[in-house]
Amino acid sequence: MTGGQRGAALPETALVLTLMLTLIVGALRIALVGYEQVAADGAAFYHAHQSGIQGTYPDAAQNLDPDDATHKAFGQSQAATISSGTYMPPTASIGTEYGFDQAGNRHGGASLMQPLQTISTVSHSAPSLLMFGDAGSVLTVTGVGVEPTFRETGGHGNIDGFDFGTGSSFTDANDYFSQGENTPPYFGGFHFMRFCSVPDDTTTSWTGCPVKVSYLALGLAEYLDQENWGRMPNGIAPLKTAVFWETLYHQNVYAQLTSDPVNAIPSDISTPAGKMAAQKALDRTKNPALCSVYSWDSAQQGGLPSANYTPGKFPLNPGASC
Amino acid sequence: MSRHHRERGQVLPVWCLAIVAMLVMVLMAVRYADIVRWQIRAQNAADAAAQAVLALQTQQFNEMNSALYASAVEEYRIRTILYGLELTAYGNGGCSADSSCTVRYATLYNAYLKSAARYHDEIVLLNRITANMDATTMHNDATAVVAHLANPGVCGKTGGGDCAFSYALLDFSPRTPVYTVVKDARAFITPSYGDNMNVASGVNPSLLPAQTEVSVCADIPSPIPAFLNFKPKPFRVIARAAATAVMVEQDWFQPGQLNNAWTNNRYQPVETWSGSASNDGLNVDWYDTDFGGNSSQANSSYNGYVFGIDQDEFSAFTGWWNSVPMRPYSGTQPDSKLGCSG
Repeated sequence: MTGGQRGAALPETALVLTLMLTLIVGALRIALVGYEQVAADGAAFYHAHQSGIQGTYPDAAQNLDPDDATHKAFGQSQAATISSGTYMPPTASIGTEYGFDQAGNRHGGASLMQPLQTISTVSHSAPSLLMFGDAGSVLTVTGVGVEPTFRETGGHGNIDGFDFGTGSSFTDANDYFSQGENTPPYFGGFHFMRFCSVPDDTTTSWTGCPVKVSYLALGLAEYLDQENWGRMPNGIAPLKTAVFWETLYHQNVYAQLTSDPVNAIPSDISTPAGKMAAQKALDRTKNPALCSVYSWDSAQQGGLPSANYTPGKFPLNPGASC
Repeated sequence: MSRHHRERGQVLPVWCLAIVAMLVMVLMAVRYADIVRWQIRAQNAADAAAQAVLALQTQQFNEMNSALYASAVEEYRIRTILYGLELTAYGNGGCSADSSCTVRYATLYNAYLKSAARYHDEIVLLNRITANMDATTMHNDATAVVAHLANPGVCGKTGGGDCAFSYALLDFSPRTPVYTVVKDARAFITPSYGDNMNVASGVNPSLLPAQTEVSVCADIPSPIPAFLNFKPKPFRVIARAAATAVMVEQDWFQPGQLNNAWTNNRYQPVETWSGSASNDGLNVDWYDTDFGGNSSQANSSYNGYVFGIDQDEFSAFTGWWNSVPMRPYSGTQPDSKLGCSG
């Protein structure tokens, strides 16, 4: 009986032991691979994050080495293969009319910070668990991280730029902070109004402008650039001081035309008195308040700067007297 | 003790050791995975917090530029209406030919009243947006936003932060240097470019793009449960993130010439105030508001655009602000400054 039990126990033990060892080793291997996969995922996230920051703002990321930083944070990555690249974002499906690809007929210019895709891949073999290898199997874990890298496409008003969404515009993308505008907020513009430079006359009238139609560059009050972004305080008041005081000034003048006892424009010109009042209120030579706004205008023509060209003045003649 | 009894007694500890070893390794892997997961979660929370803080400024800049744009459109409209009123008051521009000056004047007058009222409202709005935009207020607001993110009443919900973390504002300050951009109203643009990039000096601090750095911290309980005298220690996760405000889109925009890509309509179509177009014989309507636009040609030699002026034009140089991530910059900080307790 004893011999029989011993004879049966040996193969049973061998069978159970083999099965249990397989299960234990398998479980350990799964744990190890899981550990390595987590490490690879974390390293890939971290590497992509660092690479995105470095690509976006190189000046502020001086001495930042994504590989080195990743190795320090994830020691396992030292034995890993790390690859990283920055790729074009998905192409926008909404078209524009700017005609960036037609340098001879652009309606303006635009610069765009695009979130390019920085993809980091960390890949390495999970170490074998057993001294003699894992029965010849080699498991490789790979982690992938995707983070944005912001680069400016079509910088400087896209003057020499390429059509957005093209490979050329992607490779031409610049560092916004050292090669882009990188300014405080700004606002400006061209405002031209057709104008017939014939003096108002109460005795005659013109139908077709008797002289060549000109275009007034309007000195609108809305602007923000190097002329006024250094002012204090913010807001529209006080006059002559605040960043946007010109808007308050112009608003006051336009309001006077609706309610001022002397300079308000009448609602009706069907009577001679009404017509006369309208002519007085609307003629810059007769209404000092209106003249104080109109005097900011300037007759300008487009073209390359002349020798005495002084750029950046906007509005054109702020505060000019009549 | 018989021989097989001794053999049976030796197998048990081997099994126990193996199972314990296996459990330890599995638990270590689980704990490591948990740490990595929390660290990534912390980094995402910090990144989002930095973006949220900068939204204070970028939103204000966008509102300011939008108000400037709307006001400029309105003032351009006012100027064209005033000119139409002046012309009709003197019988100029074609209205005398069909005796429509009085009627056209009346409609232009009504348009002017509405436009002047809107302009008033827009200037008031511009003032509301910008008057309190000083650097001290913005810094205080940034501190309040960070506190708000961790507020138990809002965290975990839209507009709130991650409830698991404490948040700390490490810095909110102007970014320097920034460069001038030179765009003028004389039909020519000279953007700062390459060697011509000049550092903008004397800028009102509240109009300088901001940079901010935020940290999050939490002591995370171990995923391994305590048993007997074994009490796994919590682990501390800290993440820091920085961001800065940038003009993500900048353009020279001619709304009278460009179509909205969604509606396929002009952004600012011609506004014919006096009912019907007036033709003075030169194919010109002197009483409308035409936002127009002139074709331009890139001239890289001068780094600008050249165009002749043969149309009305309302155009705007402006852009849209948002934030981008940057490298944390405030240097080594003690845990107590990073939002950690204890």
